[in-house]
Amino acid sequence: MTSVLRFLSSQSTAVLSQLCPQGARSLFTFSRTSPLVNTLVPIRASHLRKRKRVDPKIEQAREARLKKRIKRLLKKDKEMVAVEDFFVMPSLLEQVRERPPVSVSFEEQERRAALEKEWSRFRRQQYLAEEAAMSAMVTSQQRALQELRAESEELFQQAVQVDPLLIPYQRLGPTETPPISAYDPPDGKYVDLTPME
Amino acid sequence: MAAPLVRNAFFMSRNRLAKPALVASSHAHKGLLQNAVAASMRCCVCGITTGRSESEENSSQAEQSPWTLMSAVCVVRRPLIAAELSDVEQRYKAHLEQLFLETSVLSDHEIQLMEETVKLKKRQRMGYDDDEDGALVLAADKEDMAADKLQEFQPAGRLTEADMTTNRSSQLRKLDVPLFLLVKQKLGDKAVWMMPQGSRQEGETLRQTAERILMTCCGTHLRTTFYGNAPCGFYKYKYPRTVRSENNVGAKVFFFKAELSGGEVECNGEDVEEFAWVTPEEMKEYLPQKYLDSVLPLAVSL
Repeated sequence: MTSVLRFLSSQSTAVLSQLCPQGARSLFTFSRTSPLVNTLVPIRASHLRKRKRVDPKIEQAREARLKKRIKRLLKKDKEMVAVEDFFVMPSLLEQVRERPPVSVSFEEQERRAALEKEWSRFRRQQYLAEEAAMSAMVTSQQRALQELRAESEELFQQAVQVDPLLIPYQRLGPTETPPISAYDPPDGKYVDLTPME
Repeated sequence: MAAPLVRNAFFMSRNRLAKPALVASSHAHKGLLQNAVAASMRCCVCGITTGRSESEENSSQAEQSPWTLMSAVCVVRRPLIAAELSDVEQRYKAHLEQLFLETSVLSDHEIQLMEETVKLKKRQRMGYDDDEDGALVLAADKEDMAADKLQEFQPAGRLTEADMTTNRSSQLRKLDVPLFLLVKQKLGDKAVWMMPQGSRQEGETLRQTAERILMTCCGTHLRTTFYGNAPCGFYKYKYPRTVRSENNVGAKVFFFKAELSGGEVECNGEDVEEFAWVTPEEMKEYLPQKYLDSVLPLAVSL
């Protein structure tokens, strides 16, 4: 029993150390004194059986075979894993589900194309305005830091420290309508009791 | 915002170290060394020695900057409701909804609705009673129930009473745009509209000054989150000639941005007479142009 275990553990550590270097020993080792100690200590050892002479050759042969198998697996390219989101439920592809086709008139198509272009122009103007505002803010801050440095190096170094309390930063965004003061929800209030560390 | 700017500041310091100032005029802090003659002077700010290396440290270290350092706080109340969609946005939203509808497949609810209308027509033709199906919930009934439930909920209005009365000291006015705090503070002997401001005391960083100023000017009930340790704006002004002197030329104000988390402003009466929460457009009524130039980049309605 013990020799089998020892044999298995020696085989597996050699093999598994290639596949998962950190976990190899922990799977097959145990200690009488403490389960937390990972040492190759045989359990229930009454007497030790002698090893046969032919053993080393057979052991080596087995090891070689296992190593070959591992090499073959590692040579194979990584397989692509199917993305679950791209699978469409078969029930959605049925004939019943098809919407009656809508014919869009030429004028409607023209109107839609013109709207897309108008939208694109609108979004570009918005983007340019945002960029201008952001760069103005950055310039303002750079000037402030420059002036501060000219005044006092010590204050500048203090100002340039990262504030650890600010990050991570969280804030609830705006809603469609403002919150009702002293609102009594008909379904009751939701209290999040998830344990947070 | 300090992270991307540290690189810049580092380059600034690199340049100074690479070219040691041998002449007082090329030195960055030349203002402080204006009174120095041919003797060697060590700049009390950055430590660069100019001229001959003699021990002149005592006189230069005692020199103080003629500018008073002040911190000001730009407190912003973030919008509570989403802004109204503009005309283009509304039309595009309708356009997208129509497109999504046309390119989609029928949902379970729609199929149920179609089947039921067909069944009902058949039954009416055959002359069956409708009461038999009283137990089943039809798709049309589900739609009606959902509409009724929505009617029961009365959301709060987007226009508050502060909007109606244009009460500028209320935080709950104009909920869809950010509002900025302005106070009427005593500057010398005059009361002037500006952002809460105060001078730095010994041993404080500028941000600590800003937090102290906010507490003294606006009371302890106001809860804010400061956006980092770095100032984001700068304004410099000289005192009137009657008060001005060699050691007391004027003040340099560094603006810090803070976000309102809650609480109301309480004027402490002696320094601060009144306060207002205003939009950047309304700020033009209160602030002089030069001050506005420094403040408008911070007071952005993004």
